Amino acid sequence: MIDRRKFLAGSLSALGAGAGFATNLASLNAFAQAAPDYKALVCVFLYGGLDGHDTILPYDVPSNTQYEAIRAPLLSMYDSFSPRTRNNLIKIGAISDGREFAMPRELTELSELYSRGKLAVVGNLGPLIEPINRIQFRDRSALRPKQLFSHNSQQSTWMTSQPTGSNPGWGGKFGDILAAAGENVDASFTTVSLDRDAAFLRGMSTTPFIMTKDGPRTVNALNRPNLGSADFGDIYERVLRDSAVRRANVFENDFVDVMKSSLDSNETMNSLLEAPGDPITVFPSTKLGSELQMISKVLARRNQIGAKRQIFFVPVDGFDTHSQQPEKLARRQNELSVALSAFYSSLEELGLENQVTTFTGSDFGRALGVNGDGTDHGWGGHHFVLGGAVKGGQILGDIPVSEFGHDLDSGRGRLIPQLSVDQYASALGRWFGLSDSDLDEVMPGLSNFDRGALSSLFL
Amino acid sequence: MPRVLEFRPLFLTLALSLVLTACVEVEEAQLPGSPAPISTGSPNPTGDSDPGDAQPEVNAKPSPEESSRFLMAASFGPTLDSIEDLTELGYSGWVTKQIDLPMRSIVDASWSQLEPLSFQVSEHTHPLSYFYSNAIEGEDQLRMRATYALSQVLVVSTADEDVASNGEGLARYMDILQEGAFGNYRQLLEEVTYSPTMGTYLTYIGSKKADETMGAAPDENYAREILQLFSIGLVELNPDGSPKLNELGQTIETYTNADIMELSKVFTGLWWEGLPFGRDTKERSQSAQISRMVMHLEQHSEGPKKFLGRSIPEDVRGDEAISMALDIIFEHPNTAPFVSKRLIQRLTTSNPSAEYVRRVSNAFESGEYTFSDGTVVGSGNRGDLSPVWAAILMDPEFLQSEAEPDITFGKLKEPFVRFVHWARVADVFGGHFKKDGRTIDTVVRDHHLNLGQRPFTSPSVFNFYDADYVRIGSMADRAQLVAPEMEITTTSAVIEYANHMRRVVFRDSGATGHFGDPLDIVGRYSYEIDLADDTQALVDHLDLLFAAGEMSLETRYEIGMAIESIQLSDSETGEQLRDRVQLAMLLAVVSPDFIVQR
Repeated sequence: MIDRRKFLAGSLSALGAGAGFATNLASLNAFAQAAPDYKALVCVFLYGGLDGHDTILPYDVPSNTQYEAIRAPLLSMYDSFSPRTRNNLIKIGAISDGREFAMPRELTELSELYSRGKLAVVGNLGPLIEPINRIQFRDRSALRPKQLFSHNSQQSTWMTSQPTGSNPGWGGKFGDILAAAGENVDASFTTVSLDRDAAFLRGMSTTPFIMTKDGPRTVNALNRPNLGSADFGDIYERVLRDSAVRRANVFENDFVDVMKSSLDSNETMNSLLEAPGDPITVFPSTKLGSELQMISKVLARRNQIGAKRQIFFVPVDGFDTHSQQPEKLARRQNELSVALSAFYSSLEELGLENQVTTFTGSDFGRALGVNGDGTDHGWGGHHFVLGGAVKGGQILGDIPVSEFGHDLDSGRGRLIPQLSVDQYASALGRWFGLSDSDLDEVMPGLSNFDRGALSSLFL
Repeated sequence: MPRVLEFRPLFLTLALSLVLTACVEVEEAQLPGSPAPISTGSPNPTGDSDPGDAQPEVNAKPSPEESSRFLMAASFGPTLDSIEDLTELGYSGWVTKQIDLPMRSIVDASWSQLEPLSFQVSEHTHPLSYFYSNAIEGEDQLRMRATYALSQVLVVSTADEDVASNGEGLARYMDILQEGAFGNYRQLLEEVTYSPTMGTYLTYIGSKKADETMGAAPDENYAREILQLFSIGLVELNPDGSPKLNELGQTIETYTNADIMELSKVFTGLWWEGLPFGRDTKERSQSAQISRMVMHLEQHSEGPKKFLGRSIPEDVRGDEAISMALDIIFEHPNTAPFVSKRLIQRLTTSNPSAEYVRRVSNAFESGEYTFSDGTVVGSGNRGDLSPVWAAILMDPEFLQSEAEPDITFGKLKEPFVRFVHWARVADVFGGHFKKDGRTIDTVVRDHHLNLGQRPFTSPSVFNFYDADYVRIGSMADRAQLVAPEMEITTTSAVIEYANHMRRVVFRDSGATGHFGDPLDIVGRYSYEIDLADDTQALVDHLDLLFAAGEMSLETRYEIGMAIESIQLSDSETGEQLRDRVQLAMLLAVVSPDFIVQR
């Protein structure tokens, strides 16, 4: 397979310093095609473990009463913020057994998207090896993911199916398949991660372009001979790109590789973003808001990038609510709701609302039982899928009852998931255009599950 | 210009070397592009006898280059003074001297500064300023580097707003690590456990016994992380740090969730000193912040606590239960290899061999390290950390003296270490720290963003990077190595770093920020300016201090070119000399020769 990243990098750097952005853009535009079948996936990962119990709340009176009895210590503390009493919740819908559910006030924007049919809820989702229930969990007669309840292990398992080590994530593997299929003219931006190098987008052949909420970076002083020396810019670039003919040490070689590809990809992205075309939708000034805004700016240049398929990753920290959950979770939920809503508006502005699907992930859900003013690590959790292609306004999967000791309680209300992340990924991947064999390749564990379980997630 | 003429022979030598190395390149060319795992040779030093017990034969008086390399790991970077100190004292003399140097308390520094000031400084940047100050200026370099290593195992972070808003508590936590650096790990675990900063960060402060009527149980956060991250890890280990395998060849988990629920009962009943239990108040006295948390027995879980196959009897409660739990954790056979490997990775190499881990782990177990000259470090108590540092730094795998260095040895220098190293060489204005700790804050404030790392500011308790991280497809990956620091070496971070270093390297005395705030990290470059009219001498100097004399010819050449690109005129020589130094410094600190510690 031709390494398109290297090819492009080579052709761009061959233009030489000072050749200017216009030339670069022109060369990219030459490749650019209108991409009517453009699609993107955006993973918003809620680091720390979102408490699903406190996000999709029981609403019918018997269920709500049951929930309030168990969560009373937490719920009483909400009263000084925004009460989570039944009459202050926003009812969204019901599941097949008739139990009704609601969102808290902090998720007002998401509840509106739900009622507009753009947002779906997927209940009790988490990493699984094979279907498992409470009895099998206790007597160990069914396989379970390793190192359950540990943050980094479960983040890794959620993203890569493996608890440890540096393994490719399913977003990265999707990218590998697309790059191999030649879907994107420039594979450099097939996967784009905000803020960090999360395992989700690590591929075998595709490497995520990583940028901050402030966008791509430019090396200052490279083309500004103002440091007392007219020659310095050129010398500086040679050192940054490393003029050494040979370096023996493994880590030196790897560092030089990162620096070179960084200079190339940042230069390209900078030139793309400097051209007009930013969406005008106003985003909240939170970190998440700024990061989603950067993604909307990149989406606006999809044709110049020459991309037909892209995958984005956005981290949100702060969901590990062992303490002060009423204060901390409510704030995070509201940030999420406002930012996702703005993002969806920007997609409508770009006419991309049916071509971009946004979904949440998280380390794990949390225990139903409280520990004082917070909750501890769990397993299954509830998630959001947002987009015009999504068959919204529905709760897919199950939301177990708010009590202890039921068939899906692994202890203290840590839910045993009924839907595996593999099934979730499979539904998203199928919409994205991957074949069954592609999906089996990305997620070998899928064969243990009904791959069609979430087939009604999309229109 | 005679200086240029003097420089010519160097150009010629370099040109010749480039031709020669280009020939070598042909053989090596397939390496970076090759998909096959590369052969790296054994990272283990081979020896007929058991290498674990033989102390390395080392030069009693290391050369300046050897000293510089040693000080990259043992300090926040060599200076001419510290190289001279080490070459004179030898390894054992230097290490024992460092261990004996008095600790510089960050609490005391903060307090003595607080008194004359009218405002209460509870901002986390205040103690961070003193941490920077100690790292840059302190003579007690080994303690500071060790403290920084420990801060990445026993993690608290100002990314958490409760930690960030209790500056005095953070100052005390820094002191706990500073004291613990040459103390015992068991005691350190106890001080950390009772620290209200840790109690707040991992949320067990105020955790109380289960309330059956409410269905509430103790907070599990600390129980989980003290096991996973601070002591034994997730899987059972051999004494050399490799995972134990069961008959099916699988790793063996060290604990289950039942262990966590039981251990969480131990950490109940702790609250701020001098404050009524469970009444949360943001207005905590300085005394409460710097004191140990206090046990409230009536809030402590009843009954026995069974975990890790051991049991704390029903009648052992409160502080005694914590003490016994910490004994059980500390005595676990994983603790020595787990902690040892983490600390090796912070100082010398990302991929210590099993033998290296075993040798350091032995020092942890025996509480003693004996130098080849007979000097002994440590009290003989298991878990003493002084012998652990000595064993890490004196290991033959680190002090390799072969003609062909092991190409898999070493690590990416962490951004904070790079910054402080530069600041030490640049001889930054330091008087400000002592007069008023605030003045360094402008630099500290955003280092987690623009430098890419700020001490005590990792994103989570999982530190800045995963100890097992390697970038997929990298040469390290193909060689089946890990490169933890590479996780934060992103396409964005490498450019942020270069830009940040450009700003600080070129900052001149008297510079102020946007709001007229003083930008206090200013390089004096006192020694370098004296060399700046002699290109070869300045290049040699930077090569020694930033690359232990191992800088590539090409980097030397480019630095030389940059120096020569500024002509010296008679009228403005002072400024031109400083310009030369700044250009040379910037190139040195962005070069791979500096960024990778080999």
